[in-house]
Amino acid sequence: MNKKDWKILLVDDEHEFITTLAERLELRGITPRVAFDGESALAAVAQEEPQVIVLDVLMPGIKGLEVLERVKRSNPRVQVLLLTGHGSTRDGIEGMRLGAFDYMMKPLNIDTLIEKMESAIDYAGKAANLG
Amino acid sequence: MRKLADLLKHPLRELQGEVDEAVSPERYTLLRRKIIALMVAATLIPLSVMAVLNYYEHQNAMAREIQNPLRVLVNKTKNSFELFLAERTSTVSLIASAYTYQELADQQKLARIFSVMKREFEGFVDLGLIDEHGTQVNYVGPYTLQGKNYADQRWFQEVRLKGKYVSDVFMGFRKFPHVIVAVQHMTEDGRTWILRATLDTKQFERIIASMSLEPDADAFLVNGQGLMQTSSNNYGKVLEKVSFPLPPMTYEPTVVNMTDPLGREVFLAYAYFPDADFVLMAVKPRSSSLKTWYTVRGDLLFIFVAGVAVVLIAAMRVTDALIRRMKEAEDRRELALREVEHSQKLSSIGRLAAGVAHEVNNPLAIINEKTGLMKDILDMQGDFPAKAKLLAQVESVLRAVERCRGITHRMLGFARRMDVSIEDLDLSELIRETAGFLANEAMHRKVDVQLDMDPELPRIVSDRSQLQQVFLNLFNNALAAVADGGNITVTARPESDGVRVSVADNGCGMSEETLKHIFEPFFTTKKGKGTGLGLSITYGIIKRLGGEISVESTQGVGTTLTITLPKGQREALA
Amino acid sequence: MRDALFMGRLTAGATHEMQNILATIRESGGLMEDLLAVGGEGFAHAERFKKGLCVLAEQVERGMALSEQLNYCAHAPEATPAGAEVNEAMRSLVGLYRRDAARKRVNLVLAAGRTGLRTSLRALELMGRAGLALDCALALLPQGSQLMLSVEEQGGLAVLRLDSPGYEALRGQEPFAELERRARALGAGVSAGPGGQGVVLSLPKPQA
Repeated sequence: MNKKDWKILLVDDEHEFITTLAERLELRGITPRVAFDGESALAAVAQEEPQVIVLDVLMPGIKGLEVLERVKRSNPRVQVLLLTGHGSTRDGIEGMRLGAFDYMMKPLNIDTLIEKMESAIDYAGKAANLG
Repeated sequence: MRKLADLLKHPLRELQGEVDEAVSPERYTLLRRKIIALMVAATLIPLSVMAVLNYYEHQNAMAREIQNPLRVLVNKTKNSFELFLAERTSTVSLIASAYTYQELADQQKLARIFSVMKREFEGFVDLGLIDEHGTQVNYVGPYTLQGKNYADQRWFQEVRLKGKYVSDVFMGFRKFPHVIVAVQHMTEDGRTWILRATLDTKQFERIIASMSLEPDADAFLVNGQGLMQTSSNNYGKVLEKVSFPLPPMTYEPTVVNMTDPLGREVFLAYAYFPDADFVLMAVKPRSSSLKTWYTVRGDLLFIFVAGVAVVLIAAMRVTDALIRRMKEAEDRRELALREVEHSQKLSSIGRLAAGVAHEVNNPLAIINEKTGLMKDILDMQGDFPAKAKLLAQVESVLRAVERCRGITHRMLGFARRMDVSIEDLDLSELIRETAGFLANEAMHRKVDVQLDMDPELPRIVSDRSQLQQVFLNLFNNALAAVADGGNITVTARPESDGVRVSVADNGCGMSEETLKHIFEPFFTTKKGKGTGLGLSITYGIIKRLGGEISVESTQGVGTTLTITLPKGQREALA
Repeated sequence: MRDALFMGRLTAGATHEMQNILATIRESGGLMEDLLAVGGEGFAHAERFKKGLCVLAEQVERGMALSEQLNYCAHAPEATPAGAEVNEAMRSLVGLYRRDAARKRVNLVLAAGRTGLRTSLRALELMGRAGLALDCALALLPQGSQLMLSVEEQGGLAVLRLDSPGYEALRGQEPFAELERRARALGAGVSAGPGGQGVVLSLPKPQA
């Protein structure tokens, strides 16, 4: 699958972070959508189902894990990559239990992020084929 | 009313009082004073009572001991006087009855009798025969008194009445102190005559001298009118009026205390003579007679004062020790309270620190992304003058962010040790990570930290954060023990069903005494510093995790703490 | 307290290191600006790059401010002879809690009072207590509400007042009892604010 066709949603309340990340991904041929909080993320998912959501765990309002849970309920095919800033891997592990594909700690390495996106999309494709 | 007004004015005063009380040193000062006062009172009151009783008892005994010899002496001397006077009187009496008037009237015969008398008995001055009209018929002696008439003198009247007479000392015609002994004799034919002898008072002085009194003592004879019969050192010459009133009359030798006219405290021993109008008196100043008593009293006083001092010092010492113990106990309780507080608090502050560390990750993430983006832009761009330099800077920023990430990671790592969880963990990784916290300090102090981890070390199921605290404690203790430039070796080896980790340092080591108490709560060797909870907490955690902890130490050589941990968890932990 | 002091030492060391690194990033940023100024000809995306540098500078400052807060926390377990300055501790605490509050959509404001008010509590203990009160409040307050923490003086003592509409409900709650218990253990008092509004934490005065 061409990177240009990847449907990615980036969710974080840190505007500067998420827009810069989006810009960098664009330079690599990926065109993500962005959301700055849980509510708009859910709205964006409802509007058009992404393949992968890169989701920050800590956000005001609806928390990342809650967003994850709700997305997994409504759109089980969507793969979620969690961003945890917390030193504890607990949020990450909890996220995995709730169905997240993987978790990453901030600050990110963009190449690793893209690799993980790719494997998430691969995994989703395989799961769909099997299902 | 004022209290109420105060309360209204400062509604928090009560609260403040509570706060103050918890730490108030005055409370201890007050308590200390009370205890000391109580102890001193309980010991000093009986001691003082005993000392006072002893003092008086002793004083009385000493006084008796001084008075008795004085009384005996006075009695003896009185007897000597009586004997002297009786002897002289009976001599005169014997002569009066042994010789006829005619014989006595014979000048030659009387002279011969007198010379025998003088030879046999000392003290006779003269001898005279006086007829019933009071005329001295015959006289032998140093004066010319022949023919002198005594009819109107008192002694003559008395001898006529009583037959015998011993006079007071008087000057008489001869202006020389003397005593007259006169005896009246009556012949069968009814004629009466009187034989009269004069005695030298030197004999009195001699008797008194024979008492051999100390120089400041005094003894003398006084007559019933208080006239001195012998000279005294301090109270008047012969025939002068004695300078103090006469004591009550008694024939028994008696000792009284009095202040003499010279203002001295004296013992006055005296006895009245039954057969003569004399009182023998001996005066002894109490100061000199009580010299021994004073030394004894000095000793007593010294013992008392020393006793009081010992009691005071002991009371103070004991109280200090007591207060110190109490303070320590209270401090410990406070400490324990604070420790409990602290464990609850740490979790919240750890959470805060974790929160901030996480916060720091946000700008770092942004810097990371922005710099990444700038690098992307540079990569896309064709060559231009500053490109290489800009790229180098961008790379340096990315490296800096990477380093920062390491730091926040580490901080979050030790904030994380507040969480409680049992997990499957790699002990060598945990030890490495924990040692990393102290790497900076170790490097600073040039302490060589060797981690010797067996690569075959099995994974164990345990509490990560608790173990992290254990190792943090052990490493921290080791670091505290070694001198700059010292060595710390951490060895981890597999055991039959667990892992053995030892932390060895070449620091100051511990004394046997310290080793004995090392795992007790609140024990600390860092005086005034530290809570002393370090190793007891470590001990507690290790025990809870089903492990064992032991310590070996040689003073001046170093300390090795060894812990063993089971591979799996026992039910105790569940 | 030894553990907290020890952790504080570690944290202080870490924040120090972090500040150094942030400073080098700042310098790198400045150097890049200079490089662009003198050798930027032919760099098509120079403007975009410059914008990036601005963001960089902003974020470095943000990181600095945070690490200063962290540094304050690191030293908070230490006892100061004069006593902890209440305003300073509260500023730091509110800084730490602002994001927590924002996440719960509560607007947390600090009304700094008279400066120089001190208490015998260590900054850590003070922050712990006030933090607990904030926790209580944040757990209870509805979204979008306002929470004001103010430092005031009452009868010579420093007091902390937490006030918010609807906050009086707090005093009946379970966490409040816990707050009371802990405050008392440290010699601080908890009472209702003026007119029954909010909560007042009275702090023990510093030892003379």
